[in-house]
Amino acid sequence: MTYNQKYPCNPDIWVDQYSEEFFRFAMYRVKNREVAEDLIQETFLSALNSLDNFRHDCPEKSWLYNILRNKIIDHFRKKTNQEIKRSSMNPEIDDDTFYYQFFKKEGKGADRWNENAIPKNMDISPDQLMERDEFMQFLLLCLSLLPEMWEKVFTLKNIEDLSTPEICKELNISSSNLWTMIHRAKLQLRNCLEKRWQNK
Amino acid sequence: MLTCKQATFFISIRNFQKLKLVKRLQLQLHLMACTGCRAFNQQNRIIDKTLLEFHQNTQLQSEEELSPEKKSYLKSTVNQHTKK
Repeated sequence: MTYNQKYPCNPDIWVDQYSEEFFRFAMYRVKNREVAEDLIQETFLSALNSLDNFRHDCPEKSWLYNILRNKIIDHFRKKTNQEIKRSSMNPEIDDDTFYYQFFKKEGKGADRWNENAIPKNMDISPDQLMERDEFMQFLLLCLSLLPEMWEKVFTLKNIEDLSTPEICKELNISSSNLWTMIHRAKLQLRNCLEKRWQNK
Repeated sequence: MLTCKQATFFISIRNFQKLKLVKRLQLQLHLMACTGCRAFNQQNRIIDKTLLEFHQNTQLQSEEELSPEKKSYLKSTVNQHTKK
C-alpha cells in the first residue's frame, strides 16, 4: 500500500473512525437499518476494490463520503426507477449560469421565467399515504443530487432545523450566502422533482 | 414589480426569514399575476411540508446506532479484504 504524506489512506482504521458517522448519515436518509448497514458495507468494499484509483488528493474521509453518497443516490434511483445522467450529478456552476437556466437573461423580460422552464402545478394529493411515501423517495433522490454544499445547507435548515446563525457558523458562510444557496437549492430541487414526478 | 427571480427568492426563504411588509405585499401582487411563480409557491409548500414530515419521522429514530455486532462484522470484512 502506498502512502501519501499529505493524505494517507489507512483502511485498518476506517470502521472504527468512520462507520458510526456514516451509519447516521445513511440512516437519516434511507430510514432503514438494514439498508443503511448494507450501504456502509458496500461503501467500504467499493473503496477497498478501488484503492488503486485513489489519488490521495483529498482526505480519505471525503473520498469515502463521496462513495457513500453515490451509493445512496443509487439506492433512491432504484427505488424510484429513475435514470441518472452523469451531467445531473452534483454540478457546481456559478450563479449567473445557474439562474439563466431558469430565467431570461436580458431584454424586456429579464429575470422572468424562461418559457421552457416555467413551473407547473404538481399533480399530487398529499393525503394519499402511498403516493406521499413514493413522493418522499423522489424528493430524497432529488435532494441527494444537489451539489454537496447545497445539500448540506438544505439538510441543516430544512431537516435538522438549525437556526441561521448556527448554520452560518457551522459552514463558515454569511447569511446572504445561505439565502442564495437555499434559493438555488429550491430552484434545482423543484425542477428535478417536477420533471421526474410528472414522468414517472 | 418583482421579477420572477426575486419572487422565487422570497418564496424560498420566507419560512426562515420574516419578510418585511413591503416585500410581502410585492410578493402577493406578483403571485396574483404570475402562474409560474404560483406553481413554484405550491411546489415549495409541498417540499417544505414533506421535509418537515421527514424530519419529524426521523426524530423518532434518532437513537439508532450501528450495532457492535455489525461493527465487528464490518471490521472483519475489511480486514479480510486488506489481507488479500
